[in-house]
Amino acid sequence: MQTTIPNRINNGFTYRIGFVVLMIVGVLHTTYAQRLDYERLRATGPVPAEYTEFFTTKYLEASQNVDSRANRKMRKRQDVFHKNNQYFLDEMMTSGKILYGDPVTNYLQEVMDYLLDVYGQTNKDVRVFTVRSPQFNAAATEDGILLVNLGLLAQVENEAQLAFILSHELIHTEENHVMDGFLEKMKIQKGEDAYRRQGSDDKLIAMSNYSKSHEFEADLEGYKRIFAKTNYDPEEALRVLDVMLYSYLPFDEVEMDKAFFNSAYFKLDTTYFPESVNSITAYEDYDDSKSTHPNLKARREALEEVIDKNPSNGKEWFIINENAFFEAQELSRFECSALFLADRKYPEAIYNSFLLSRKHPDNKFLRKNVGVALHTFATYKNNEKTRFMGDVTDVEGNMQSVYYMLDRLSPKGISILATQYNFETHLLYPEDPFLKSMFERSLHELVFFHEVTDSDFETEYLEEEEEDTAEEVEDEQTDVARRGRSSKVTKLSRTKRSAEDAYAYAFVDAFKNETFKTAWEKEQKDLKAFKKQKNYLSWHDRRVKGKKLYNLNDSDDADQRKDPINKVVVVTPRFMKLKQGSFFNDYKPIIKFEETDIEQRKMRELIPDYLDRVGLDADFLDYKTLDKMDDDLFNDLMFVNDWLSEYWDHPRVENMVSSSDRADEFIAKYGTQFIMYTGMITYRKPRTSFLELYVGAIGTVLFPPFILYSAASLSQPFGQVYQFVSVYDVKNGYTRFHFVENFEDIISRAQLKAMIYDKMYRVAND
Amino acid sequence: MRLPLLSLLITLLPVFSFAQNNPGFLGKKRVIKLEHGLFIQGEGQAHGFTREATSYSFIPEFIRNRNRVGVSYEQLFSRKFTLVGGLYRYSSYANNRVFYIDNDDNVSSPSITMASGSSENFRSNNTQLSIGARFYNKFAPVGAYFEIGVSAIHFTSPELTFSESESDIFGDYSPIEDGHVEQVSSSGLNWMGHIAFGFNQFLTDDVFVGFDLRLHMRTFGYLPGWDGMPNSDLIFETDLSLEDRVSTYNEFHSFTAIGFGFSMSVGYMF
Repeated sequence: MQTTIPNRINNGFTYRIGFVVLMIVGVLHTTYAQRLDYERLRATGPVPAEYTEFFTTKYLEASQNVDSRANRKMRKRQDVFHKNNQYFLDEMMTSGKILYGDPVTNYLQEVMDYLLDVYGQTNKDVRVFTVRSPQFNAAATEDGILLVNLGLLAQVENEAQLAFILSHELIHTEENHVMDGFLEKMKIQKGEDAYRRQGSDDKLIAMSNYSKSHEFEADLEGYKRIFAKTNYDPEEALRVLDVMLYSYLPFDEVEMDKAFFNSAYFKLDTTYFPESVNSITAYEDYDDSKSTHPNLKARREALEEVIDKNPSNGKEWFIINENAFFEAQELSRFECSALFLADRKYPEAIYNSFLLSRKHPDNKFLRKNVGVALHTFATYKNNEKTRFMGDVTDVEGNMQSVYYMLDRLSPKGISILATQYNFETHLLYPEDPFLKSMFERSLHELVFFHEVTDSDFETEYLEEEEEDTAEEVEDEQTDVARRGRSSKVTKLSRTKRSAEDAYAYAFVDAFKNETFKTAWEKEQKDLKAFKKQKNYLSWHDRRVKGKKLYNLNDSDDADQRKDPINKVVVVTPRFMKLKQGSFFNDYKPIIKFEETDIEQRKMRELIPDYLDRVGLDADFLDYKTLDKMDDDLFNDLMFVNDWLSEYWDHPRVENMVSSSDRADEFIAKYGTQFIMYTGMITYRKPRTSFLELYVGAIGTVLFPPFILYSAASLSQPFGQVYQFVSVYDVKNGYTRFHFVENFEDIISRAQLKAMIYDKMYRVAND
Repeated sequence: MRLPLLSLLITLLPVFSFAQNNPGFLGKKRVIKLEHGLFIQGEGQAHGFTREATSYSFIPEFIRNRNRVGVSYEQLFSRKFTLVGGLYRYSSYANNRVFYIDNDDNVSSPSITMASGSSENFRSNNTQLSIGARFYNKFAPVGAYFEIGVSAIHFTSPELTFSESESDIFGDYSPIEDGHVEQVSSSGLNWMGHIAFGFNQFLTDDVFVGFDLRLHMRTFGYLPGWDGMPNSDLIFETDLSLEDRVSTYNEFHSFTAIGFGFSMSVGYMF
């Protein structure tokens, strides 16, 4: 029996009901149920204040914690720390990567609450959030926010291991390690106290050692003060170090199934897979002299000294909820599959999906991920831009098979594979419009990029050569006599091609399918029309040779690029005010935090007003204006952030965004496919160049009134302004409007307003 | 004067073609301005001893335009380009001096009216109608701009005429022996071209204050006479007859004059 577990929880009540039902259904059912589909993690419940409060509010609150007994210098540094800490924390919380209220986070918070009960006194409000990242990592902040990556949950083996990591992070936050580290770093940088007369290398090592001492403390104190007091198995604290050792590998090591990509219509030649893969070299005694964390061997040795080998208080692997752990783990693994894809880690995405598909064969979500990975990788390969994938020989373990296969397949081969895979997925789920579009996209890419026609593919398999019968010879001779040609050349050329072109028989079976045939014929018709165009330029020339690569108007889909912008969804506008940094930091620009916050708030008021004035309908998605109950809007923001971050990460030659499958829902809700992202950066520094002085002097000599201008310009500091506004089409995956203005000047408030208004006007009138 | 106007319009034609691409300032495209000019000092003046070769010197205190008050209307045509029209009224004070070059090639301009009992300056009233094109560096009408424009100036002023017969128009005492000067009321039309550098600072979204510095060239016809009242010994040291001196003076002074000024304004956008 196949059952799906609902992972999209609409509110707390249904979550609880769902949870009770799961408990009743029982352990085996929950843990081993096969999923037919998977829906991405969503936030539910009231939006926490960490997302909605402005930086200034958070900073003012945090700055209350400055130690009033410390001397003036230290008080100032603590204040600087809080300012930096709160600003970047706020940036991170609103990055769209941090999730709350989903089943994974709720489970993590349950474990954390248990640990806090054991720990007893804490003066911090400890909250756990999930980071939507496939990397194995967890982090703690000064004010009690613990961040746990999905990649970590995908890899730890049980709740005890997770509890040890959470205990470790809890000590970091309890002992103010983050602030201590910051203050120590300032001391080291400025060469104060014991760091006087140290060279830059010594300083680096000193910083590394200080950070490592915190890690040891978090390990040991986390164990002694928290973990040892629980009923968790102490051995798991050591075991999790092994998990960390292999955390750079996928969550499981299984030989890649060579028939994974095969379908009823297509068989991928097994020679595309390696006979053997690199062995795993995970090495725990690496050189850690300049890293922030001690190496695993050192951590293990330190931890072994305190670990009670024969604990009296139990050896539990699970205390809170075993089912919930495996559920959270599986959700994390599914989620990682999509996150790898968004990070352009196609082999990882495929291998991760393969591992999950062993338990969940034909899972729609996994098939979609693999299909998108193959298609997007095919476009990269077609464009000859696969350097980002790294060297296939460096990859360890069974995942190397996927690297190897993607590396071995030719651009045309991978295009065919993508088409075949997406075709099969479409047949499995014919009602899904996104999967249908994936098949069409892959086929379009194959036909248009490689300009393949009917003659490139056989519709029948080459039959074994048989001895010609006497009648056939006679027929042939008659035929030769009639047409004046020998059949030898035809026969030989056909044999030759079959040897040269292994792909000629790729679609023999697929051609027998009506859906495929119809789609193929449509593409062929389009290709003929495309090639007959007056300004015909092949896709290969456009993309690989870069001819008119970025000329949107010259594109073959120029029509869809001119969809009128009737409405936009504006996502959090950005503003950043920079000033010249200090001498100690090589004058690198630094952020003026408070002013940035003030300006950002002003922009939030101006943009709706100006969009209204230019007559452009708009909706606004902004963390800072979310109400407590706006969890739906929160999820929409998360989608937008996902879409944008992935879109920006891809070069604009083929704008396939893996999260596009969620676009339809978004478009239906907001009534537009356009999202607008806009922002400004201003930079100011004292005028140090003497060029202006010379120009002013010469100008004044030539034309005396010029002195007024030069005096004004010299008295002003140097300023730089960068403004951008972009409108993206989440339906078709392209930049509908993009405008950047960059100049050197100090701008007044009125100019700033005029610039913002101007960009809104440009969008509305484009 | 028609030709420069025409050529100016032709030059501006391409600018008008951008007119449809005009967001205005926060959607507002019209500006009305109240201006008060402080034209600081006098004008560059043609001078020379003969009727042919002249040179220009800047003679301070010669002409002062005072209290140039006016109202202007500015229309935004594109992001950076506007046209401005204004009506101004102001007084000019022409210092009543004569110019010549003495034997050492020094310019002399002794006042000859102080002793006469008349005013030191002749006051003329000007009504100026001006149009100009402004080019803003980023967004009109915010920040700095460059302006080029032309004006027509209607003036009324006292005029001096030289007369052979004796007269004591300046009171009982008249030093004039070889002819005399009469002061009569006159009016006429001058042309002025100007360039300006200005800056607008917004106080609110609608109201701003403006500053500009301008340089102008004016056909200088409003003192077509010399008062001819030599009250200085220097004047008698020249060999020229009074008649000659008047005619030379008139000729020079009908040449173009150059001046500069400064004005402040309050603008409102709608």
